[in-house]
Amino acid sequence: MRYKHIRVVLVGALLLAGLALQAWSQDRPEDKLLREAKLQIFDGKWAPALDNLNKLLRQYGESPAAAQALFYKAECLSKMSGRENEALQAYRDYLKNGDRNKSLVEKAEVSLIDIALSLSTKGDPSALREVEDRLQSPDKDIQYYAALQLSKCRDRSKAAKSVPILLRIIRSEKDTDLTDLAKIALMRVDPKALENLDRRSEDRGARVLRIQIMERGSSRLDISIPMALADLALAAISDRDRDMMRAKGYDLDKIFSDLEKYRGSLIEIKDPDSNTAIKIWIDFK
Amino acid sequence: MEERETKDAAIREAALLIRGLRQGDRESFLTIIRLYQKKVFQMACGFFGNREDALDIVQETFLRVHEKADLFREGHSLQAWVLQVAKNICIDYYRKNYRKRKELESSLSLDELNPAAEPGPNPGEASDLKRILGLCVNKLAKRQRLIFVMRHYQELRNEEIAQILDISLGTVKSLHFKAVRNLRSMLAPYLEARP
Amino acid sequence: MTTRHPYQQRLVEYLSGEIDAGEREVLMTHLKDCPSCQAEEARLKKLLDAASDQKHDVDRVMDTVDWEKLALRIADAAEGRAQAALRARPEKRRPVFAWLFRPAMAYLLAGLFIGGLAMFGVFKAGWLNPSARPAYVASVDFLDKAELELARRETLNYLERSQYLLLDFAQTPPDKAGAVWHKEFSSQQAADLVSSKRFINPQLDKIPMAKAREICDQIEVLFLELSQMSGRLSETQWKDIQDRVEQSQLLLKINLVKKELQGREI
Repeated sequence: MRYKHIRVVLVGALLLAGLALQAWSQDRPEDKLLREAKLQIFDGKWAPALDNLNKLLRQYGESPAAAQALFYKAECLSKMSGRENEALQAYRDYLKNGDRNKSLVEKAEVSLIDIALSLSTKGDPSALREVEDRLQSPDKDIQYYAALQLSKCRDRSKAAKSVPILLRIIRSEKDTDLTDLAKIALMRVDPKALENLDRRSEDRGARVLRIQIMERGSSRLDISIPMALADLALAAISDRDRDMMRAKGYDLDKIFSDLEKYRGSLIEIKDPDSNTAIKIWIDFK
Repeated sequence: MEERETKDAAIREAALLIRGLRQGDRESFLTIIRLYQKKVFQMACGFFGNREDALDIVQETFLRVHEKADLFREGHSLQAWVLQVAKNICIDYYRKNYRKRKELESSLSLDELNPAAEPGPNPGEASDLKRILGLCVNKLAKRQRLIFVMRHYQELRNEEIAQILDISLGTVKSLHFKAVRNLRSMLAPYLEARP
Repeated sequence: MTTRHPYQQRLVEYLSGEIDAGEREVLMTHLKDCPSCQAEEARLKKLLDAASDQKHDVDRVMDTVDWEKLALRIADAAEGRAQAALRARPEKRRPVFAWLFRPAMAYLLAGLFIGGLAMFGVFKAGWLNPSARPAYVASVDFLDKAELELARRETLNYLERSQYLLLDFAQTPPDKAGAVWHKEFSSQQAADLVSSKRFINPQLDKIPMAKAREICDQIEVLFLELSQMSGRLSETQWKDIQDRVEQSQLLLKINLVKKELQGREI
């Protein structure tokens, strides 16, 4: 009898504790503030969200909700124009905190890289350090992202630092979307490196897609791109030229099938009205 | 060793057949047709979903093979080449004859196949799924559709497909996966296990 | 991109017998204990089985064809055409290229040089381009556009995967929230989706992607939350998120943006 009674009491206590825990975690004022801020962020209301988050950090700076609040504060600042430096600092603060939430941490690193890059183009080259440092991040994904973003830097010497990682992506990753991005990035920074890589890997010799667009006798476009990126290249032709091609019956499939059918021959599309000529062919090395 | 011998033998046979064809030998041409007409039919039937179009495609394919015998490169796979011709014809045919069908297709737009719509009394029913699968395969982008057809209806291996479409093995796998994934999301309500 | 559950792609490859023995072992061990991956496997298998059935249907249709007759008919037709072409006057083009002269304006206007080159056989490298040049050359502008195209595709991808996840989410009643539903699975999926967005981000600021920007960001906010929720979602929190999804008409907007992005395809 007594045993059963104790069991009931125990279960009761646990239940109460559980409920209390729930109630406690849901009704703490800082959690309310956080939840409200998140809702506002979802609706794109940055300023009011920022107010709520700042209030949280001021009044409940020691609570476990503060870490997340820092992250979301940084997010808000990054979306508000002219406050990039503050956003950068907020992300740094958040990361220093050592929050163990992997998704948030990763997003913070990524956003930090984006902001750093943007600041560097606006005249603060020291911001690039943040990106360069992340080339050695223990998280492989962050390394990759840093390299891909760094490759866009206008300062060639800095952009060149991304090359080893870009090469690593192309050699070891299987996700074609990722490797395509890396190849395009490499084409920006060091096309010779991509050439060497392709030459070594293809035994039948590298195939290069050539596209030339001439208008009234002068060259508007003249590119050579690895065949592996061919469909992207064709999509990158200007809308006007694409419309012209479509009007002549050419779409992506037809171009590919013609190039395959008549190996190595030339596709030429002329529009006498605008005096434009598009030539597409494959070079074999 | 044995595999290479079979492959060499196939290449030699292909070369003989093509040379015969180029010289106008009817029997060589008939042999080529007999060897590959079913495979071509499988591709076309999977791609278009009907018998008549598929038969047209088979005929057109071999007529073109006959005309363009000069373009075949000896030493390469004859099957791959014939299927390449077939594939190109499928795409040409699609563009010419199915453009008008777009109006019909748009009335069967994806929204109507949407999970929000009623799938029928027994969504887990096999025949329902098969019927809708056919419709959904037709909604795939051309290359994805081709690859799906080649993998599952013609049962070609990835390597063979890569050869026919002249793309890398990696692209074949990723396009195949994209096709499966797209089908999977289009067919979501039909894939749930019956309670 | 690390994941505890196998990617869908892995499952597909496993079902198609394309993974090696070692990986198969690992995957099967995981499947034994993971109901959500088991369910996914079952769905994919159903899909692939249906495709197999279709194939058998095609095979059955093939049995209705008289193949020998067809072969003979084709051979006759080919000979007929060849002879008709021979009978034509010699000034006319070779029969091989007769198809070029269909009324289709497209071919005429295109001015294909294919005929001539094909007659001369294999195309020599550099023939059209005598001056030496490095193999890969493209302007920054061009590369930007190629990247944009990649981003367009990736965004479509992202939207589709989000759509699927959101649908799953929207259809689960809140009282099942604490139950065996794919909490962990979907929170991992949500995390993966947030991860994959990073590659699209830089492109979302470009004009053609403007419509996608807002919606991708909204989805991301949602998924960031979902990704943190594994094992701790309460009924209220669940309902809260469901309401948000419904009120913002997220699923409808995703469809609209997808259509917009698909329209830009070449």
